[in-house]
Amino acid sequence: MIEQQLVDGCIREDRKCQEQLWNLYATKLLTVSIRYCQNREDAEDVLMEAFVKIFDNMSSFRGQSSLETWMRRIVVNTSINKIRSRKFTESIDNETLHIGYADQAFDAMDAKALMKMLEKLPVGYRMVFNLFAVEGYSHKEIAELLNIDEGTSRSQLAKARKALQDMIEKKGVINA
Amino acid sequence: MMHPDQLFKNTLYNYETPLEGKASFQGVMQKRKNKRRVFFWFSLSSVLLLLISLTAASVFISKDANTAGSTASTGVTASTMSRGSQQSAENDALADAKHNDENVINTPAKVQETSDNTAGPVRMLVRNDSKKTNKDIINQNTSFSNESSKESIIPKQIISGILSNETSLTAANENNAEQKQIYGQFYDWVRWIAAKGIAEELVFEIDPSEGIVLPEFVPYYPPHKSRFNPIFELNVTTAGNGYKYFRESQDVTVAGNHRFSQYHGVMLFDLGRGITMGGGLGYMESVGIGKALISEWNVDTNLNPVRITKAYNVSYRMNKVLLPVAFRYQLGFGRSLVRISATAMPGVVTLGSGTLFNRNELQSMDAMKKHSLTLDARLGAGLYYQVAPKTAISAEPMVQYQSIPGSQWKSFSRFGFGFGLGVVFKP
Repeated sequence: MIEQQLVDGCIREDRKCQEQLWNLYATKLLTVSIRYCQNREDAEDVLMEAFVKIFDNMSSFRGQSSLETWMRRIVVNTSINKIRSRKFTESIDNETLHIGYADQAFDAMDAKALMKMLEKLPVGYRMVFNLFAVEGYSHKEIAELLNIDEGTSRSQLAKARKALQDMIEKKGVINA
Repeated sequence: MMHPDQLFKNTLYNYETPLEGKASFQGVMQKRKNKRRVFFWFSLSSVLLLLISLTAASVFISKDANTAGSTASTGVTASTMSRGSQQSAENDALADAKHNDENVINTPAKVQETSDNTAGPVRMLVRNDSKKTNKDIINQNTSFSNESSKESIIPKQIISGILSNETSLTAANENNAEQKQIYGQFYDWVRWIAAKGIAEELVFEIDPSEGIVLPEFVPYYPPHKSRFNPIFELNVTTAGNGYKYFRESQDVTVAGNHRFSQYHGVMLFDLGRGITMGGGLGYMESVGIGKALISEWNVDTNLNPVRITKAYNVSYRMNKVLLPVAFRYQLGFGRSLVRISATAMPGVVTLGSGTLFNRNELQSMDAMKKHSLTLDARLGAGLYYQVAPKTAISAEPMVQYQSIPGSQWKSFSRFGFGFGLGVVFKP
């Protein structure tokens, strides 16, 4: 079934189409929510909540982007709301760090290892890194979304990179 | 060697995590169901609360209006009654009831008895007792005569032209209790309370070309294929309003009510974000029925001036063809919505007969121009429920404004409170 048929079906509240949409995207979107949330339980909550929003608001999908991108945005925003509701606040400063990222160990990383690393990051670092590096947001967009300064966003990213680099180096040493 | 950002993106962007825990499609559907249930009951409670508040307010205001006294202005009476035409009223056959008004004339107490030689045994007794109030006197010792007043300031030919038939004052007084019961439940005016039971969803709109996401609130509105596809709505509404402004001290006071029934069909277009607008065709029937008390000064050269009060039945009927311009805003999610509707309805009068009335004004509809233009409007807020993929129904309490054409356009505008039912079809 093509994407447009799925969208039309969901607008008509066709349960089969809704289920098919879930089967197609749930696993991918769970990864997105896990990247933001502190634990899997929260991530699953976010996923279900996001799908409720997706089904309820399917008629507002204009087709200006792919369906997956639209759904991914909803999951990201639901995750951020979840984190906010849990009052996961991080102290953020404007210190700028220089980070070297040349490391052979990077190439050897698999997805699970990278997920573990992200999981270990403080929430603030993780959100900014995910938004910037994985989702492709600009610092300006991140600043608006998280209600922080652009400079803060940059410093959070730098710190996140630094922390990840440390983890990768350690892992590289262990692997070596 | 890969940039770490690129590495994370390439590795994690499409990575799929198997579902193992509680996340399931059934769970999602159950969550939706619960959410809708909460929304439905919340909306229903809001609407019920609104109705109860309006009813309570109307009762309170009605009580307040009873004690408001003679603060209201007199409208048409002053303009339509002239001394120039008073002499022509001499032979009017309408019965006059005379009574004293201590607030207006302050003369020594005396009793004046008049007999009518031409009208048989009917006698008229006028008490001019400053200790008694207007109401007291009306309620006692008032009898009738068909004797014409010598100094009547009422233009009788106008009255006879606009009033359908006469009624004795005694009969009117006997009906007071009944009228109170009938008209007491309506409003002189009502404050409109806007209850906003709104649930909004935080969703992000995407423009992939810019790669930016700005947060915005996107309310749900019923799905349809394209926003340019028309949505058809058929609506039936009924509204009414009443006056119980029976003041003997006023020149004209009326107790009565108006009823409007309106049917319209509109074609709407979706403007996004739950807003639809469009136009159509409608038809409205309105009727009014009531009793009017008209007071006048009767100046006898030999006697002190006395006030004469007459009671008449008044009624009118008016039909209009309307061209409604509709605006709708709906909020919520799933099938249940809260809808706010506003409709402006310019129209043309196709039928008009009888006597128009407000609480202190009367005017014959004969004076009205044929095919007069009117402007009505209505504002409603209520529930909207999608019963089928292409069909929804709406039920909403509403307030309606009706302008009635005449020489004094604004004088005959009025509000009514009622209920509307609609069917919406999205082909």
